Amino acid sequence: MMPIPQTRQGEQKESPAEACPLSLPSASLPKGGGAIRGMSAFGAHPDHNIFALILLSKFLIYAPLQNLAAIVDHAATLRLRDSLSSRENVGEGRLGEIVRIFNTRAEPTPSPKQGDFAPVFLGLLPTRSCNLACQYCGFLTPAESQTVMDLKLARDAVNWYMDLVRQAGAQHAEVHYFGGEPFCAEEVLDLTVPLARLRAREAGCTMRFEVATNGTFGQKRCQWAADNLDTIVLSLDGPAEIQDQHRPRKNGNSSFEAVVRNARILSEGAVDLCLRACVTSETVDRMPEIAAWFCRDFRPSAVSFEPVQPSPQSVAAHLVPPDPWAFALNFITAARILESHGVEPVYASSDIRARRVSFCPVGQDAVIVSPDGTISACYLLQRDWEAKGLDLHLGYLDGSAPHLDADAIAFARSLNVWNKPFCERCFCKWHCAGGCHVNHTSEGPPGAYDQLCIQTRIIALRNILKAMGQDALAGDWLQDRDAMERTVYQASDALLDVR
Amino acid sequence: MSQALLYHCSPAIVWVKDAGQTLLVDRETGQSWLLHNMEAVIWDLLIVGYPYEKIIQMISLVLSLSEERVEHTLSGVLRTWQKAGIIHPSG
Repeated sequence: MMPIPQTRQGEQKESPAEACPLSLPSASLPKGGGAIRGMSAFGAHPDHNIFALILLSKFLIYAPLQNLAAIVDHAATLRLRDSLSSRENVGEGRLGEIVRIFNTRAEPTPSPKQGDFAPVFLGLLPTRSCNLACQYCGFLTPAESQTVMDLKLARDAVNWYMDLVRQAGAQHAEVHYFGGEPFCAEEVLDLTVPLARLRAREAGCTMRFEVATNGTFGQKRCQWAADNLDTIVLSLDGPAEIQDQHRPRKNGNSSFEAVVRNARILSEGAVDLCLRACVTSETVDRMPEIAAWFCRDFRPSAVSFEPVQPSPQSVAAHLVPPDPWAFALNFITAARILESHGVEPVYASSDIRARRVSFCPVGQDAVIVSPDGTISACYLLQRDWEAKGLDLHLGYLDGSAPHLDADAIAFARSLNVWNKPFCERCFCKWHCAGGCHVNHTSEGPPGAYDQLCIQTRIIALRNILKAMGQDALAGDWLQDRDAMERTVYQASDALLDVR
Repeated sequence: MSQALLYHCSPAIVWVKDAGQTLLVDRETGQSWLLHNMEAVIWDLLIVGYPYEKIIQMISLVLSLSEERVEHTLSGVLRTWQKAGIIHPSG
């Protein structure tokens, strides 16, 4: 094993700690902060937001709300713990500097949304239908899939949202399109994009459009998308043999050529292209190869890898989620390739720039309008929420008048990491915020991490070490499975719990 | 105008969009046109293949104008573009 660097260049070697303020842009910083009423108490203790992760023979001290990360030895970790618990003076020097940062430089603790209803974005579901028959897709709902959003409803939804934006004096507005495949109801986009842009001009705010698509549209439509949208999240699972196994057309034909052609067209435009690959146990070892191919043939701004979400369809197709260790290690290898090409690797729950209480738009007052006019907090299927015992309906849109249920909004806001005790002492809690409220269970005894937790913790830790410039240390850690397991399965990451 | 009337743009025309405006350029003559507001919306709908009547319906919804008023403006815009050689009827 390589010696762990104790110092950075030019620093004194006898220093017991290497502190590295993380100059990371903070995403989704809440306004205000302070006392939070009606919450479970775990997050109220600010010292529970300071973490220590065993890392080979050292410890990583991580204080995301102070933008601080430091590599220290065990003795220094104990002194920092004692200083935190008893306010023991550790004197001047490196440890004193760390304690000073602990005590003085915290960002506001991320807090759930309060006050006036102010949607973070408008989500439109033009239709649940799709022209592909993806083998793992849980959105295949014959009963709902034929419905297409009426154009008047689409107009009313945009006008309602833009009225809220204008009344709030917001400087920015966003419309996101989900599906099914949004371009199976392209009239909705053709109507709402110019309408929202017009309303944004009237309100004096900026406007952004994002779509999640399978990318099988024709060339004219692709050019329209490049001209009119800001971010396109394009699903492409890999080379033809993977793409066509996972994502065939409904008639069984290949989708590969159309998606690749359109990814190339979009690569030439100004639109932010995010390529999204769904990973299974069979394709996990090909993630680095897929990343290299994406960089070679396209110009994405970001590449997202996500493990397949189990569904009855995926089970029937024998497509199973990858082993979380294999996923994380291959993600990191793929990330290095992407980063060397200036492409951002994305595994959403490990985004260490994020400071959030909810992984997704649920709880942030996002409004998702369905083709039947119902307004909900989540774009997943109602049957999936209900299976988890959740009701994420917020109301409905009837003509231009929205009918919103204040209790439903309060309930959606309560779905946040403050109410997930399992996450209380995890160093990722302000980054992944417990993951998807519907598909991820944040329950169980401390340290009973599931697949999402394991891969999130590995990738997030690598991201922190990379931000510190500790690539060599990360490399050593990633090659030592025993050391990784000691870190990943640590039941509590709280510095106060270090023994 | 016929209900099924479609238009296509001349092969010499290229365009770029920026900040809600659309700049058309004739690659052969170098002539250019800057489209704003309703004209820019008409252009977007026309180039993805909407027929005349559908364009009227869509713009009426976007701008909250009567279909009669939209048709009056639309027919004038399309005549101008046809005269300039930007578009041709095709169906």
